[in-house]
Amino acid sequence: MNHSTDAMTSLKPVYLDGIGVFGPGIADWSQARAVLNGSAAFDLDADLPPFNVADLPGTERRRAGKSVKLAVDLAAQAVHAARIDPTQPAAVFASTSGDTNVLTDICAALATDDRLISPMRFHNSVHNAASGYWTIAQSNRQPTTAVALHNLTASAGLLEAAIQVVTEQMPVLLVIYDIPFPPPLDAAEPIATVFGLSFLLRPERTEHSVAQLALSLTAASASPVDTLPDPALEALRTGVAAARALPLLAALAIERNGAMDATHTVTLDYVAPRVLTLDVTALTDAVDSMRNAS
Amino acid sequence: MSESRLPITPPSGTKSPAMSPLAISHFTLSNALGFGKAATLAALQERRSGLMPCDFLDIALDTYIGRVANLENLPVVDRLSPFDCRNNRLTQAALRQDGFEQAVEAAKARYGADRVAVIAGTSTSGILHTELAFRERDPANGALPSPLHYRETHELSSAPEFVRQYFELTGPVLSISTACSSSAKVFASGWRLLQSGLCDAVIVGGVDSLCLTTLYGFSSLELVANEPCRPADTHRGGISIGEAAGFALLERRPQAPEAALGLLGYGESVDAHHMSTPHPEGLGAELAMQRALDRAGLAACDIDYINLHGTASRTNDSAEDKAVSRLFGRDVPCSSTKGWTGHTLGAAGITEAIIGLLCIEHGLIPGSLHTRQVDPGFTSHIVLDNETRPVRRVLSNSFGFGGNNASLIVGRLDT
Repeated sequence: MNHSTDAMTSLKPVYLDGIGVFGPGIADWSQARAVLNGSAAFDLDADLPPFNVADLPGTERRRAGKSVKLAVDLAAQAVHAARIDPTQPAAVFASTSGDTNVLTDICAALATDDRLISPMRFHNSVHNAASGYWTIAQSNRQPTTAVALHNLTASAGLLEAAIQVVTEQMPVLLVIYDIPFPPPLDAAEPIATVFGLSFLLRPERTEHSVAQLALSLTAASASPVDTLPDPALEALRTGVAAARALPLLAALAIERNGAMDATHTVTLDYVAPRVLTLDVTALTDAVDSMRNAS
Repeated sequence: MSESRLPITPPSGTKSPAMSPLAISHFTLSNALGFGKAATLAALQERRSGLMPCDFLDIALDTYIGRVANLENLPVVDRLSPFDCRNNRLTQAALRQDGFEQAVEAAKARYGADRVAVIAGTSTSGILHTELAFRERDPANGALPSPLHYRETHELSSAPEFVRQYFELTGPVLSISTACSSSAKVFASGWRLLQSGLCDAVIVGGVDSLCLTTLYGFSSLELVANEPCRPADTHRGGISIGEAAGFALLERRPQAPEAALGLLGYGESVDAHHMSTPHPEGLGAELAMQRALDRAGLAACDIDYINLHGTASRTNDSAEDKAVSRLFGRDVPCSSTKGWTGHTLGAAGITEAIIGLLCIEHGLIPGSLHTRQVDPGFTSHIVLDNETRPVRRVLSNSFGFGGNNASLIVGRLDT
């Protein structure tokens, strides 16, 4: 039986219109780009920038936990960079364990005699808390999901978002984010630091498109997973599930400074024995080429 | 079947495009009513509830729960022992009913291990395992027992990864966790994944098991009833929490065309209103149902039965009634089946979609169990007694915290 030799393993390309990044010493895509193309040093222990949660109304800002603030900061970065009406995109929020602080607090409280947990902490414990706060803040009623796949969460989020763009033909906001567990769960499930990234993906190229991404599932034997030459960045990649997407950010950072319209293939880990490959084509002169074409 | 597939048309305005239906070629469910389809069907027909006074662990809450019997004695297979926890025991027990394992093996042989995907929904995964570990902390340094097997038991992809390894599959895997809409949304993601061409069959599922977090959490919100839940009742006093697992095999074409059932439509939305309270007028709920109808290319009058989210919380039932009434008037019979199973949270979506399929197969409209007097403010057609009549298409609602809504339409495929 010859079942999968001619089966489809590639998706129609999607367009990347806005990028957000947050991590130690990194408040946005321009700072991430400087680190990734080698013009600034990366330090895993650098201070975290303050979260920019200007998009959250006051009440929600007071109620939101750390992972929600991280996700909202990232969501706002990508949406604003893409200059899209924030009520328009669907959204995929991807995180391996969501709000690790809230989960730890709840498990600790439930091991005490009175077992009292606060209602707010309980509703903040759902994995779609970030998407709830974000859509309330933006009055966005589009479909929104929250997904996880442990160390493969970044690839799973990329796949889910790209599939939505291709099959639903609508813009999709993708936010990939993780925060570490506090003790004692940090020993069982180490997450090295706070890190996240966000993309605004579209089915068609716009004047704000910075790259075209073509996703495929490929045999791992044919395409080894990309690593990063800088030891500190490589420690980030292997230490935080969300940072497994760093090779993709690195390709985007270099392409922006390099040759136009060159295609670079990025390989991220996925369910063994396959990997997720992304053919990244920079659209650096997006506005000019649109103008020339018209 | 392929000849009757509808073309994918681009969206115009906010209207969802009509979609090609998918075959639901096999399905199974396990919950407080028992293991497998026959147990749930018999309880529905006999109007026998699975809810009992809370006797779970040492939890002293004045409430009723829908507990699955005997999970304590059903460990997971030895080769997957790091996954052993209540949530995966329930997952494994459910997979072993109704010939579901054989259906997956046949799909794997038909398409290849890399062409069968797994998408499962859950709200709390195996958090009970971690909750109990916190009772065993080292008094000196606070450390948890080791190894905890957090990844295998509690991380949100624990169940879909267990399913993948149980069947030795290598296709795409995903966990969806959007509270109580989680395992309705697996059907939407499953449809898209098949549409993308990246696989040829999808095992969609949902599993949530009893734990302290949800029992004490919903109690903290004063959303838990001290009697078996009474959906849509004037005197409804909140939810009864249950546990459940359900699985379905989605394919592009039915394997048995003469009795083919399928996913006709799905609709997803969010309320953009409040984290734990639905929009009072049910705006997000209405949007999800409308999108499901649009995708299925159906009108309200084409629906024979609506399985409500119907948690028996004051606010959910009222908001859902308004949304259903605006779209369906008083014409379409509606009920909640949570009086039988309890609210199975992240497993509710697939549990109730499968109940919808059973209603179609057996021509049954279950009247809302424990509902004595319908809230006089309600205007939808709430059914209180079981009815036997042909049912071709069922709409099933699932709404969750974060205002996350999903509606599914299942029905007979035209072949």
